Amino acid sequence: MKRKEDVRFLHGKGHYVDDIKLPGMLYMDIVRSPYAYAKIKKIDIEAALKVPGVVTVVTGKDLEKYNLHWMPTLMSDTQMVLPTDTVMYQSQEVAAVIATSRYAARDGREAVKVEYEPMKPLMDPYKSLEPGSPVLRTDKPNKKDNHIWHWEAGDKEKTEKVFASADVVVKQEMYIPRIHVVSIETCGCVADYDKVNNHLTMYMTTQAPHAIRTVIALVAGHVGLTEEKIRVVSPDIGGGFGGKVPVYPGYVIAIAVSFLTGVPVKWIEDRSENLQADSFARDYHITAEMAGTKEGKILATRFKVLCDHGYTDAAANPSKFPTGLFSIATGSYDYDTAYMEADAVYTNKPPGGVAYRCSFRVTEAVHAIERITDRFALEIGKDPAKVRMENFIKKEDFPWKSPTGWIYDSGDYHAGLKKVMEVVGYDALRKEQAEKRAKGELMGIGLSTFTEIVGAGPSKDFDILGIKMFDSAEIRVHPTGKAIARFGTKSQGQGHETTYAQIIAEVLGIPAENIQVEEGDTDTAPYGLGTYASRSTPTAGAAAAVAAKKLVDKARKIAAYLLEVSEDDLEWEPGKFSVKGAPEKTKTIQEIVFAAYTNHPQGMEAGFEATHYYDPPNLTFPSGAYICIVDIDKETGGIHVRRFVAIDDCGNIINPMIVQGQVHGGLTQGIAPAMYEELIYDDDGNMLNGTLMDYLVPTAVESPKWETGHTVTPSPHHPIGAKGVGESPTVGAPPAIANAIIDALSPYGIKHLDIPITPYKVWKALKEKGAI
Amino acid sequence: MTTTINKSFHLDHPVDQVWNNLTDPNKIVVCVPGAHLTEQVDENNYKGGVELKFGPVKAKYDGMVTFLERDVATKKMVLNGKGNDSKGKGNAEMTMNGQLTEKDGGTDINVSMEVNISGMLAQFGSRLINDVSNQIFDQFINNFKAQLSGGEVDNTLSAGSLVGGVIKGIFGKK
Amino acid sequence: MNKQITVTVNGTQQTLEVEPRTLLVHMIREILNLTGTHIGCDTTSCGACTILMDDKSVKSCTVLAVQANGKSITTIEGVSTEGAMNPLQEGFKENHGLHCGFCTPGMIMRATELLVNNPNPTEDEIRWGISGNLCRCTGYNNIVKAILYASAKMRGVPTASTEPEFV
Repeated sequence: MKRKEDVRFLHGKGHYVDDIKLPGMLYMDIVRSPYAYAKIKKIDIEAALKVPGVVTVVTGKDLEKYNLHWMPTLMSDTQMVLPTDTVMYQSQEVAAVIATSRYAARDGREAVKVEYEPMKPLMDPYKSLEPGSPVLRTDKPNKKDNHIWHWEAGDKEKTEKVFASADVVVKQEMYIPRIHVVSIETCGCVADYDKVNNHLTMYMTTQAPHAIRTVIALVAGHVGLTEEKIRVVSPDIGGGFGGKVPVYPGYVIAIAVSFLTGVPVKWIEDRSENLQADSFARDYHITAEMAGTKEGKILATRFKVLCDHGYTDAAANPSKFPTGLFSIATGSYDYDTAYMEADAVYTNKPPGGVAYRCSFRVTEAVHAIERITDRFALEIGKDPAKVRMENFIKKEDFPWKSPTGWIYDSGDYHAGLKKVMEVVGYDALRKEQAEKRAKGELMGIGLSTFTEIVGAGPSKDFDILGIKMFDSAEIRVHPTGKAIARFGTKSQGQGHETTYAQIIAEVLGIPAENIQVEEGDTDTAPYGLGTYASRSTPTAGAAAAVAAKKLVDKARKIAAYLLEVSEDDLEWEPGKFSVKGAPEKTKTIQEIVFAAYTNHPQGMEAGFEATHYYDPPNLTFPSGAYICIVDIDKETGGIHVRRFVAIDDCGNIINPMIVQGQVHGGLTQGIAPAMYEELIYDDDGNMLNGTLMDYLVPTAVESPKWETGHTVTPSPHHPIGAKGVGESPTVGAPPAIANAIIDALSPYGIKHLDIPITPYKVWKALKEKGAI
Repeated sequence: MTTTINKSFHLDHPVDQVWNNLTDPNKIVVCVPGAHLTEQVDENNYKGGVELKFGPVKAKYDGMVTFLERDVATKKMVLNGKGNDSKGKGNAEMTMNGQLTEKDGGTDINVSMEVNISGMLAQFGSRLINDVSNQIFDQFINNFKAQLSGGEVDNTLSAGSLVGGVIKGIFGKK
Repeated sequence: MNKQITVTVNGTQQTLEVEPRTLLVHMIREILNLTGTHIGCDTTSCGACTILMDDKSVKSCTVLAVQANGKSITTIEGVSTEGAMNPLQEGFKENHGLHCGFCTPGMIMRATELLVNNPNPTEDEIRWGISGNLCRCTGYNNIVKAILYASAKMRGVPTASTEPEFV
């Protein structure tokens, strides 16, 4: 089914935050710090106030009067809205200029003079942990170091024993650098506070409108903005990818200014600000180890991680999971021993990280396991496909408990790998590779067989700031048989308006074209935790199915009444009830719905609506088998992706066209960090590639001609057996590409390269090994 | 971020004359394009400023010039210049090590200059910093030679000249 | 000192007052209230602001409004007639060439000039032709498919299947 939402976008009638224009609206521009770590000696706003059009300039001292200069982060740390004495990262917000026009606000920003006393920033997370390093969070009275938290999972002693006695142990350090989501629309808001009615409407690029509303109420409740007085509206969003989950200082300043002036305030960040100050992802330093037999059986894995969070822990993870779902790093393989630990540290970098088109920290986890598996295969001289095939969890062993306690719901890893190997002609490729190697030509084949973990999450373990991670659907059918359905999630392009309608249509039998789907307005939508980490289909999609089922149950009662039979005598097929043995006696769902308003049984509630808040019993576990083939130019290190085939298993597929679209997009956002993207800082804390000139987002030229397919292993616990897929490819692709490139270089003794693997890195590695 | 430039050149002037000019801030600052001194604080410290234009990025730095070393016996000098951008957009620091040696009646000069920039200039100008520093240094040397010979010193920085020079350099027409 | 300019916008001549420094994209979005043209970056890198100026695709964030004086500009709002979709718009819809829709108007305007200059492009020519337009959602495959569809439609030949192809 083609997408219903496309019509407005294709005519340029999408409704994004920057399209909003309200009477009397003011514009906000933010003065940012050029230094990564500095004391603020003086902020001189005199010249700025004289700029025509400038209304006011807000600094930390102004917000301090209302106790709004600091705010909580999603991980219960604290974050500055505007600093009062110290800046902690380059591009940090320092002051906000409010003016009557966009250009005047920019003029005002240029006229603000700030005097800083720069200090030497801590940019290296290892140095940051060394005893004697300056303590960055001097705002925390008892803090004596830069260590944030320590986390562990698995069995330490058991793992040590297995490693000590194993035939083969491989160890690899790998750094997964900071990258940025770069949604084509940057972040922004229009804060519209109505002084007369004490009511705030916050139009905002947010993936989680309800959670934001609650956070605003918690932060600003003391000035009278309680939750019923706040309405958050997410209009159309130009891509989220996790970057529009956090609460950025710009939003809070806009609310504060609107609150104080009673006038709408618009803040839209420009791309440089977006790249330099918000939503970084990854930045994990991982030491990965695998123990196994020399025949290729995996016995245990061990991971140690250093997590660079910037100056505060503003990650967007469920609260009990500081490393997100990293403990899925045990992977798709059948072994029972693992141990992993992580330490998080403060540095003078922007705060974060977000779950960028992945489930929480799963990209890091999958990169670690898929890279170390290839390292293991290389060490024992065995084909990496064979190693995987021989170690996979078997289909019949699901539900399967992992060494770190996850219950994988279902999967058929053998089928996936078998299929992708057939599609690419794996054996012929290995033959071709051997022939090329004999001639000194570089060709690589890389695999990635991953298990993702999405759909956060069951209420017993999952919450964000204490709010449980259920999600919701509310369906109301009108007398004439058309429906409106509202959800607690928020699409940023994933096609919810179409897929949710399809789910309801399939259960209830009302055509999807007759179902209007709405999300994003907290005044009308039921409470939900939003869309990120591929959670919508597993949670809200399930809620839709359950709510639709409730409607079928009500329909049965009405049908029995209309047909004058008992409920047991009725047979249901989506769209109508008929009498068993008398198939000509039917009532369509439309007739039934009409009756709910005009002729309902006595004693029954009139109307035809149902709401369901779905608490998932478990997460879902999509999986995939990817193969990447590369050819490398020895002279230049130039890497050409010859072919990339992705076989995904996301359980039952609701809309194949949308699923494929998600896979394509996720793969392009997967090749990006593998070969092109990385945020680079120097020792003084300067970000060296803070614009799209230097931060290399793949174009249609760099993005390969993706080939996709699927296997289907339904989720046993999801009402329609679906698992979610939006992010699997971003998780699975980087190791496939890295493995391919390293495979091409392995004859020269090159065993690992950190992503992004650029031609320069390849050339340098070959030169160091004397290959060129 | 830091860049280091080393240059060696010969002047047909006696070493003492070269030394006197090199260690007199009023003489050498005027040779640096865009630079000026405002006042002397003490024997080794002077307040001053420099205005630079890297294409569209204008930078005006107010700061301090300090002689860290001035050894007339060994003819070694170390000069440090540090400035903050007047709008608070960053800072720049330069340390110059100069060594003079007598040679054939003239003077051999070995200079190494370490330039460190922070803030907006580092973010956007990092790719230019080497070439621009070289340009400024070359202009300085030309001015210094002219000054020693009693000629005209060009303290002005013509708009676009730095970037123009860099672009020419990239295409090989130095 | 404001300047008065005359621009033909989507077929209608308009006289407007702009500052010398006003960017064409701001003139379009804020003075003309045509918000289909989007802003995605500040270094002319993303192409979300692409429109046609005298039939050439240009990034309107890097054109001053005064440069459009006396010229004719076409935005996404001006490509369809009476609400019906043109072949490119139809191609994007039928082939799932958009997700969030933010880069889409720019893509379509760029593809418009591309197809005028090259009515029967190969896939590689299309990829090069749209390399100035970034998309983060779709992975580009279906955008290429959409443009190939439009090209076929405009040449009056049968279009390829719009069903997704799987291995």
